[in-house]
Amino acid sequence: VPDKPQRRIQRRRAFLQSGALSLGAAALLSCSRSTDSRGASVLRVGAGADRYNTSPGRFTFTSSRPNVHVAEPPVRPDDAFHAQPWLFERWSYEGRGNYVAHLRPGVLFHDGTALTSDVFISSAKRFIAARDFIALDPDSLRRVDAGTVAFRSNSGSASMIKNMTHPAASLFLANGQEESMPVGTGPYKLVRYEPRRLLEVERFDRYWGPTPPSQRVSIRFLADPQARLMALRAGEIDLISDVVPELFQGLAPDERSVVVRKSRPMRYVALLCNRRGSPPFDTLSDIRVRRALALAIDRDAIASVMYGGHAVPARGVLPGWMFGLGDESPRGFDTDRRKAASLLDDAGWRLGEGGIRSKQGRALQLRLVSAFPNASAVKPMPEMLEQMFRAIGAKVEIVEVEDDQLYYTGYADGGQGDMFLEMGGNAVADPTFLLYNTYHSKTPWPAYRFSAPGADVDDLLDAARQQSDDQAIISIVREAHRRIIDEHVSSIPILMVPVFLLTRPDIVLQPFENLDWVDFGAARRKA
Amino acid sequence: MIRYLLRRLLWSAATLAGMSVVAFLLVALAPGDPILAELRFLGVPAKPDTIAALREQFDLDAPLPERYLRWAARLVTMNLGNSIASGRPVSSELVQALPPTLILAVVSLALIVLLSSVTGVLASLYPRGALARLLRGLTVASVSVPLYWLALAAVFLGSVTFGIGSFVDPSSFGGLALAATLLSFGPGMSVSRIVQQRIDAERVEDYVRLAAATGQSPARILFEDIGRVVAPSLITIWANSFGYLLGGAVVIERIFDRPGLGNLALQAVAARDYPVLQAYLMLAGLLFVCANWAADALSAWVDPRLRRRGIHA
Repeated sequence: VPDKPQRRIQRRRAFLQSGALSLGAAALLSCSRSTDSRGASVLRVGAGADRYNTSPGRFTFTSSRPNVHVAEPPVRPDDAFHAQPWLFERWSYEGRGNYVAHLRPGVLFHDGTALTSDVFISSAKRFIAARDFIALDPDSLRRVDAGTVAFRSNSGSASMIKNMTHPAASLFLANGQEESMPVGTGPYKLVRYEPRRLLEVERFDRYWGPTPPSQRVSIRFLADPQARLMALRAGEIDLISDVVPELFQGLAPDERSVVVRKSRPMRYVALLCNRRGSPPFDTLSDIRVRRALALAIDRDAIASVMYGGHAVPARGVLPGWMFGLGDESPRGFDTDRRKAASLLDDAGWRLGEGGIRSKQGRALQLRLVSAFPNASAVKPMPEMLEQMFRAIGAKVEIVEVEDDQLYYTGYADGGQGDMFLEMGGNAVADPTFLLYNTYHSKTPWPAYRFSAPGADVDDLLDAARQQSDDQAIISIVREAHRRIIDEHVSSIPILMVPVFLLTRPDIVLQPFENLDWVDFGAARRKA
Repeated sequence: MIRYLLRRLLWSAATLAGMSVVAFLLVALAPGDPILAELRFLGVPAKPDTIAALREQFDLDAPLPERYLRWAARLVTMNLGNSIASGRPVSSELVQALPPTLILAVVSLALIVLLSSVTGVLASLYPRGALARLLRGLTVASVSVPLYWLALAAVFLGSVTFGIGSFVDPSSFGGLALAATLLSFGPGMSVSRIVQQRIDAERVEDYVRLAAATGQSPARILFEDIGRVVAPSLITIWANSFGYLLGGAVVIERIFDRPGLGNLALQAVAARDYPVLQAYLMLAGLLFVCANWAADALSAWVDPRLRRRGIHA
């Protein structure tokens, strides 16, 4: 019979052993849970930070990136970015900004409500008309019959339907529940949402369109890019979006667990020139200096270094394949440093000590502000540009800003720099969208007033917005694009960059052009 | 003791009032406009009157002192407003984010206490030899290696290489254990040096030599006599490390996808989400003050001299 101290020791030992067993069991359970989810037929997506907004007027819950297709817009872009029928089966432009649209029959919301003109009107008033850029006049929405609606653009625009390709025009049922459980007509219905952590959707069996391959899509919000990549490598998720350049540096050339998927090159990286700055940021008011800088850039060298070599040299800010714009216009700029030097000579900038040019005692020193959306997105492009500009006698001060708010309020909005490195793109099927908002003198963004070309481009863009004929619009946009780049050198195009996703090798994706339009639900595992 | 604790409570209230001014000004004076930030994120332009209406909605159009008074009044009534970035009530954002951070911080604090006590005592008992060198090396490494890098390396080894549990699943025990270990490693090793120094300083005192001369065992002298003397100051140091844990949680939660206060704060900074940021700063301050108040109470309970000093001071 054990004595008292021995019993005490035995009790303590038993306590410690049971504690250790519990911890082990918990760890095993934790491991087995993740193993189960790997084997399940759930597509698991790792997205960036959760930026959904549930406010009325800025509602983006499930419709902005990552767009999980709970709701659908009235029209969608095709391969060339032309608006194609979706919830609108067809439509007609009646002139003076008036439209008549016929709703697709047989479309149901996830709660079984049919898409009728009355439902469309209440939904469009709440969600589509709240977005200024779409320019839908909410008071003009009128029922023609059960499946037909009429409405008007409050700016008289003939391009309003094209703007409705934007995910912000997605149609939710206005049932008062949209802030917690939005109901749409899309191929997937929302089943679970934990803010900043997780969103899950399930296949909608009564969807009017083709049945999507995944039964369930689970989206995890992983704010840190490296954490997203590691989750992919560990097999905890199947694909990741919001791929930043630093992730390419972590991919080995013979990487087997990760595959790079990309769209056609569609986002531009360009230097926006400050043409209207006050001293000392007034050097680029001289077009010869702007043109010289454009000719000094070796775009092939930058393309081979940046974005894992997936980017291509850019001629303009819109890709030639988009809207059928073609590759002939604008011509853009080839590398010609001799001509660049000659242009600077003509402009009165003479080579001085240390290879830096000067004019009337003022050195040719330029401030390059990098970048929108952030400096990491274009690293190490500023340093490469600095070397290239140095070769023609221009000294560059690089200001790197990681925070887009500081970029705008500290530098771009006040014209506190000579060149602003930006990455952007035309996110909708309206061919005028990017050029109008970035190069029109009346742009709503203060930063772009410093690079706006002037009256001739304003007139062209205004005229394009009044046209109803697609070919006429594209023809005008092509000319405006040519003038912005070739004639005014308001922006110096550098690269065209695809949109990237990283996936496991067994995932098959449909082609995509815009992160907002990636159809995660259409992704599937190879048989 | 109650008078002592009440006095500390009053000081805490005054500290929080001061912090409210700092929290408000830090956020309000930072560059960037939350309304434009949100609209730019959406990638769509808005009319000037839409922007003006949003500014009015979020109280951004009033002068700074007026904005502070309105905000402070709402704070007192626990009306924290809505997040500019998500549109959800700030209070619900905080309520959702608080538990993951508290769990992480409390587990990490327990690990800090354990790690610093064990290694501090070992370093004091064996001041020379391989163990002492190992502990010194670990201490230097803990303060030299950035937490972000350490966390990524640990996740790579733990999850990618060896497949120990899920690190993107906040309910994973393995993920929590790894996150808490990483978070507590630096402060735990740093405090262990203090534990060692305090014990070393006490071991040459007369009362320790007297206890040894009367035949008490070294373990009893260490844990009962020395422990009682050094405990109050160590409790204060451990409580202070709670503030570090809240800061460190920002990095750890981002890597481990824990939907806690740190992640919430980082996203609020990026979006210039004033209501969330200001509420976060106040909540972090409140947690820190509470931890210190609890430490004061615990110290006073352990060492009655502190109560007397506190009352007569």
